[in-house]
Amino acid sequence: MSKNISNLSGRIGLKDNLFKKMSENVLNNSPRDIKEIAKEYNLGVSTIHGAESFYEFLRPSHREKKAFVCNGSACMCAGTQDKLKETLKSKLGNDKVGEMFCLGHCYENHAFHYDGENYAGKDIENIDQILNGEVIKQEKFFSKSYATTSFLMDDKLSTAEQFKEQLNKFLKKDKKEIVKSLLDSNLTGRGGAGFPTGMKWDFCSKAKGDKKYVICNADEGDSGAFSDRYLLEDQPLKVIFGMVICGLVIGSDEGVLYIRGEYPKSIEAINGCINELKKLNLLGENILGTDFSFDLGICIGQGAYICGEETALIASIEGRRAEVDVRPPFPVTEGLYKKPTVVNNVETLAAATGILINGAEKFSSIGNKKSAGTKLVCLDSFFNNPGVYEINMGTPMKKIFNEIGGGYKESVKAFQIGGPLGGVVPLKEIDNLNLDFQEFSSKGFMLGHASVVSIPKDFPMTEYIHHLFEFSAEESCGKCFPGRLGSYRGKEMFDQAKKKTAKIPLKLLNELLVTMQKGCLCALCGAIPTPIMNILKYFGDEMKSDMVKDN
Amino acid sequence: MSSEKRKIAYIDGKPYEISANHTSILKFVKSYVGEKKVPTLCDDPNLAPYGACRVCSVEVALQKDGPTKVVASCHTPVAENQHIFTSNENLQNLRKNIVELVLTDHPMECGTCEVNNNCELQDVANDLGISDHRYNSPKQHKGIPKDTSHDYMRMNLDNCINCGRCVRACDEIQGSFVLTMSGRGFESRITTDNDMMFGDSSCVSCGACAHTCPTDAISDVFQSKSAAVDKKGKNYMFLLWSWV
Ligand SMILES: Cc1cc2nc3c(=O)[nH]c(=O)nc-3n(C[C@H](O)[C@H](O)[C@H](O)COP(=O)(O)O)c2cc1C
Ligand code: SF4
Ligand code: SF4
Ligand code: SF4
Ligand code: FES
Repeated sequence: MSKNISNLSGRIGLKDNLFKKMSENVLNNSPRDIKEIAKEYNLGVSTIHGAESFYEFLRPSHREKKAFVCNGSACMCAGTQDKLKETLKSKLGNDKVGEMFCLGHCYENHAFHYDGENYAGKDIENIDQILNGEVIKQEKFFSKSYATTSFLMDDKLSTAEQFKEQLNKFLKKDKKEIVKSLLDSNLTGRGGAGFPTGMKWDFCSKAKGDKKYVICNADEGDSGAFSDRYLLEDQPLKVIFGMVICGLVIGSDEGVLYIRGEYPKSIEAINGCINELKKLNLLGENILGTDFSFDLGICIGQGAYICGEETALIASIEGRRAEVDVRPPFPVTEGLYKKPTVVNNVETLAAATGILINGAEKFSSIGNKKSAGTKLVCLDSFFNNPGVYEINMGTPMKKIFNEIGGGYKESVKAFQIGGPLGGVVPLKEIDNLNLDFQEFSSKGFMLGHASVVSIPKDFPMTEYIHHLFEFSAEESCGKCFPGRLGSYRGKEMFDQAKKKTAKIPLKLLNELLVTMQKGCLCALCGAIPTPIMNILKYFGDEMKSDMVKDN
Repeated sequence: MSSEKRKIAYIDGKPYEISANHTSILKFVKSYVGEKKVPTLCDDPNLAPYGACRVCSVEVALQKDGPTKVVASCHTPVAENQHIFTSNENLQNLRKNIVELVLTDHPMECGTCEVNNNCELQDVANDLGISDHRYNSPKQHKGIPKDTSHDYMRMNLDNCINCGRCVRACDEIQGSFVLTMSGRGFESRITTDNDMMFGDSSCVSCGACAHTCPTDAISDVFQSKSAAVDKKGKNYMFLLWSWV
């Protein structure tokens, strides 16, 4: 972690942040020499070059392509992408079609990105119109709340008028009372680490700093998950409201949403809301005539899954390489530009809003203390009713899959729940699980963001592990040794198995997995062993012919 | 100082007092049981903790006989009543496996290397008893041309282990931003400025990078890190550092 770069970049500040400056420059038709930018801010040319070269979308090899097919786990399992790729190649040329990891269309697949927009499902049938630049009619995801009380999907905060009314109410509230509500609700972070949200806000409100920041982590990169996308596009005011109240509580006057570039519609929706709220003085200087000011901006991710990890996300905004930093210090005391910062997931912020509006007891009365309230669950296209659902914590998974999801369209053998780092749960284990963070962990899985990717019966598990290792090799930040080297060596083992040039050395593979799990700095390469170990445990027999025991 | 104010933590079962300069478990352990008890590769006491190599991992329990957790000692704070285990079988295996991974992308030509017998990687690997790896035809970054364009500095990235010490020394000690890691993941590598030759870069020849580099990936024309070169050369380089 470079204090020097953080401080120098802090002088530029958030509004005009170095990351934005740098990426806009690269994506510009006539980019400036980075030496000029470096000089302007007393930074090294190497600083900008080092950061730029980190991001997939900023690389020349990416920019010379025109269309990108989704290579996320859900589209891979659906088997829709080979044909899609061929079609696009025949229209655009063989070297013009690249890949992107998960466009958040896991409920319909056939997903691809073209000219700043995402397409999926039946859209490819209109490829000629798309290439002509015509706007085509697209299907939306299905969403529905099955919760006792809806905190995330109701329409209590869907207009600027409602926003104003609620804001007026909370501007008058005691900050301690707001924190107490969140603590009482038992809301825990929905981004993966599960830290109690009330406590995070409380720590940050007590941290000393002449400036503080609120960051909304909207880098949802998990394949199978489109719940943050749902909130950003269909409930943007809930997310923004959560950020504003957080700013009020911790004493911050500036926040940013870091939204992945793979979600153009989310960026558009949030942008529209920010502009509208600014016009109405519901964001900006002296909100509604009070002495509270809060400004909001957007950072657009440039193709790096690791930017979802909070320290990498902060590094990214600062224009440093998006490598994971050591903790402590934690962002609540030393975050963006070394200032106290709350980083919260999209769903956490929306849930905080829902709790403040509906009351903490309603939230805490659902589920249990450690897995409280409601959770968005995403079901992929293998279900008869694919979509995003708000569900009570504690609900049996069997019920979610069979009743809400309506069962499966074809035979499936397992599910990867919680993104690429989440566990692979065999079909028969679903009967023994409830929607509960701790329960998943205690059985060797991970609920994470509660996305579900179905693995069909005939999908070879050797190939699935290859996909996982390939993902972590591609997306590893490269900082820690077991992560950088381990992911790549794992990928090579399965490359060789796929090509039948060598069998998988099981003993070495097991040692590698333990090394990554115990040794890694963060949960990217450190948690990819979870699903791989699950597969080896439950589906080892299927892979016997690809393995050798000793080595 | 009154006795109840003293804070104690345990290293392999024995109690030791925590003092103000023990800013990490690593510093605590080193000060009582010696430099070599816990190996390190990316750590340099003059640089901020970085946590990349993970060979400094130790096991920590919050109470006697409590459940243990593996943590990197260089960036984990030492706390009262912690029970720190520095080298049980699990830890040795973890360290061996990590160093083995490093060797999958290393030339292992110690005999002809400038820093033979004065190399941190060699020491750590020797202490762990690792001299080879078990991976089948791993892709390597071998064959990067040596950069001899600089008047004083030398770069031989075939031997680089991506510990980032040079980048941090250039930034934290020299206050320059000449060096950076570029790319990402397995393809990340050290470079200068905007992929310049070392000699054409903005380097001010302070030598801080060579001084901290644990291998011979960055060294200097005086071969000041060579165990075989006489003292004179080393002093000469030291002069150069203090001159900048
Ligand atoms: C590899 C990795 C990827 C992550 N990706 C995300 C993400 O896409 N969105 C997110 O909110 N949190 C993500 N996290 C978790 C964040 O680091 C952080 O814990 C979270 O944003 C905190 O918000 P919360 O307390 O509201 O959950 C990721 C963590 C890791 C280790
Ligand atoms: S585990 Fe992977 S992503 Fe995380 S710090 Fe290590 S190399 Fe980077
Ligand atoms: S010698 Fe040059 S590259 Fe090395 S630390 Fe000094 S200024 Fe930086
Ligand atoms: S050149 Fe030396 S100090 Fe720099 S990363 Fe490589 S091995 Fe580490
Ligand atoms: S010395 Fe601790 S991770 Fe390298």
